[in-house]
Amino acid sequence: MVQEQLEKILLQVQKPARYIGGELNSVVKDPKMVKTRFAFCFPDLYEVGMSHLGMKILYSLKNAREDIWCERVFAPGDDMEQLMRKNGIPLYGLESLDPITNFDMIGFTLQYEMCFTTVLNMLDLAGLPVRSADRKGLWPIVMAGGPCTCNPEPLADFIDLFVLGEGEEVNLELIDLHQRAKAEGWTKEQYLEQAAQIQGVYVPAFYEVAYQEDGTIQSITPTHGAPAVVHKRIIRDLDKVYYPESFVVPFVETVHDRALIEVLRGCIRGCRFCQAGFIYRPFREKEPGTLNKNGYDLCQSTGYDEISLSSLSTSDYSQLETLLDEMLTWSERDQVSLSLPSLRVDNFSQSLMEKVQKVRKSGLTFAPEAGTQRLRDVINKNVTEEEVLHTCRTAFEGGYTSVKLYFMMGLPTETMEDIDGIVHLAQKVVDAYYANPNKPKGKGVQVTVSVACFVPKPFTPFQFEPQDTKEQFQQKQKRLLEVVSSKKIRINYHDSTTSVLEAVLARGDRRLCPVVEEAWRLGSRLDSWTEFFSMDRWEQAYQKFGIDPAFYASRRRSYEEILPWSHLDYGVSHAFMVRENRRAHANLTTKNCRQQCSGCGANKLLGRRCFD
Amino acid sequence: MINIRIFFAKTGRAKYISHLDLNRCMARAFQRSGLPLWHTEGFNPHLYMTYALALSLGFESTCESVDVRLLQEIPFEEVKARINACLPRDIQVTRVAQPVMKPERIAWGDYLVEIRAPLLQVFQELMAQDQILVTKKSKKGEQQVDLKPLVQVLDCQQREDTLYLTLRCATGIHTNINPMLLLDALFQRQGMERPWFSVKRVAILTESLEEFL
Repeated sequence: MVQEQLEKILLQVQKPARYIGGELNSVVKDPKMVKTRFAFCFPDLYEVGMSHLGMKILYSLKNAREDIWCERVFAPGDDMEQLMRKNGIPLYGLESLDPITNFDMIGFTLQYEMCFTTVLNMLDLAGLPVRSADRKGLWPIVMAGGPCTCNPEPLADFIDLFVLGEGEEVNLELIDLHQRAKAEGWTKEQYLEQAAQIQGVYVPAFYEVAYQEDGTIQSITPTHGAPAVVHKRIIRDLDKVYYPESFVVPFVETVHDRALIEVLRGCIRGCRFCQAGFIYRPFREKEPGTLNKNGYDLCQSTGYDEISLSSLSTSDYSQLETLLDEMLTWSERDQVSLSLPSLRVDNFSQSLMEKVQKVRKSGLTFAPEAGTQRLRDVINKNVTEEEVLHTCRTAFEGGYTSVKLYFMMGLPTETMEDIDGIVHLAQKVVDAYYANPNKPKGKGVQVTVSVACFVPKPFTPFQFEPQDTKEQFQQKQKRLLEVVSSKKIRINYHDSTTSVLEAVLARGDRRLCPVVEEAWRLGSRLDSWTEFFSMDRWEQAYQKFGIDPAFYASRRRSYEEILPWSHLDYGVSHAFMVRENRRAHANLTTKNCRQQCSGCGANKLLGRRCFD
Repeated sequence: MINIRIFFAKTGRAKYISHLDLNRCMARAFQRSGLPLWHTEGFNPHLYMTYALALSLGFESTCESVDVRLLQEIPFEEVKARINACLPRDIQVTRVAQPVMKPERIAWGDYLVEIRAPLLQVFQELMAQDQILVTKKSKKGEQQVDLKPLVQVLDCQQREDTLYLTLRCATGIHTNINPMLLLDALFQRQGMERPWFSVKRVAILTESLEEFL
């Protein structure tokens, strides 16, 4: 235990409660009574990591087994890291306050590319070599899961094994295998060889990558008996999947400090820019009764007064009104408010809005994503201007006086006309507010427009597309500000520097591993926080290893090119990506899965049709 | 409506929880307990809770208290058990009672202090001065304060390399002396950085040294 050492430094850091555990519902076990000690690492600050649903699920799932003790580990803030290094305190689990250096397994969740250097920093803080090959023993096995494992190549040299897809079953299979390996005295290599035979497990060291002269990949060859293609895992019957009855309730305020229920997985929409919309397919829903119980149990065990109905697109849940009616029978009585974070403009009704705001009114956010109908068709957003305006009118009539609209810039085929369209649409929303005869007296409207820079991602129909260059992004941002004439419209946009880096890492190959390591050695970590980020370090790292970021970010790939993730299978077929990319360039939309199956291939994981 | 005073201890890892975070933690525990508690009736109704004193971040205590209002009569033992079932390990209710005194009557607080450094002699020299002038920072700015009349040493021992103190400090809304003022004056006199130390509040007293009830 590092408790006494910690006590010396904790009063010198911001929000020390983040570093000491002891929260309600945190799980403490006797280390002598467990076979596997697991460190679940979230490579970002406590406030961010504690908001993440996947961690809550896997934490409870593992701790439900008597022989496993899963602890939480987060990246320390800058002040804490410096004091830990100065005082020789290694990274520790929040439950036991024991260093994780000798834990059996260390698992990272990779939610965004900008966390990669933090992963290395956390391994280093734990006193472990960052490179997989330099960690010789059977423990700790360092694994990683989460959306970024769909192309984990920039971390291939550091992580022992990646888990593709949903973790509820495969995590326990890997732990069982590790318990056997320890009992039978296997080497690390023996363990990884066996692990690679489990569906959903990708051991990067068992694949050899050869390159052509032009820098593209020539071949990816499995060794050690590893499969040529690794298929992701899914939970077939989502309604029966394990769900926690309690969450650890943090003392400090976190980003999302509320109860969460997971309404559905996957998405029927097929927006062509959206990685989550493809890698989490096929679409599966939970039953309203199950969800109602999940939500009720959580509020009872945590004392939260807000429940978020979480999913990629909650308004696509087929029994949403039934679910809300069931939940309202107790949530109103208990002063618990319901929030729906991801609503679509094309099915937002008056009655839905009334149900959501019955207990407390929260903000409204919609994502038209693009400013013109042509471009919305290219990205397959399947939302019309009239639907956006109708929704805003409904909201204004219901008493809302501010709306947030999300857009992207740099989308394939985009022109300045599309950029102007963003402002024009926002202006029409402002006009819709003033056209409402019942608008509150003396209150103006605020339309906030957030414009992100588009990052092409693996396993989307836009995986072949070049990203805009930094200069192109800057021109478009300038144009945006020039076109706005109303004070009612507030424009926010994203820094393009990080978006370009994100694009490099998202579609990068293993030649980026030394770059990631060098950027970290030069001081990079917590790259998603502007106060820690420095592009200079990354530029230096590119130069040292002769890497041209444009090769990864702003190059168009042919449909035939072997991509760094070609040996990974997320259910959605390559042929489908090509088909959808061609349709995008022809301004053709594709119907949503409920209207008509577009044959993406993900239903093969289900073994049946997605919809009857 | 019944006013009740909930006495609780905040020890171990809970000492790193700020007053604001403690308040949220308590509110959630009360909510989970299902006890019928009075909410304020203003524009934004919230659970009525009022603390006798705040406790500094990093201090433990065995004698904190918070007042709430029950909407119906419930045995105090049951109130205690139901809240304790909903609190994290290191925050526990010790007693529930009817409030006897107003928090304004609080005048003194007793603190057990442990310092991992052999500072007995320096401490005695410090306390032997006619005046112990320190700078106290508050929202209103900096202010010179003489600790001498505001801090009493009830006990003072050194065993091995650890100094054990029992201090009685002026506490409450009128004058409030954080024991850290004295400890920092001590470390400064010795010319050292803060060593490992712990502070635990063990009693809250009135002007006439009665226990705050």
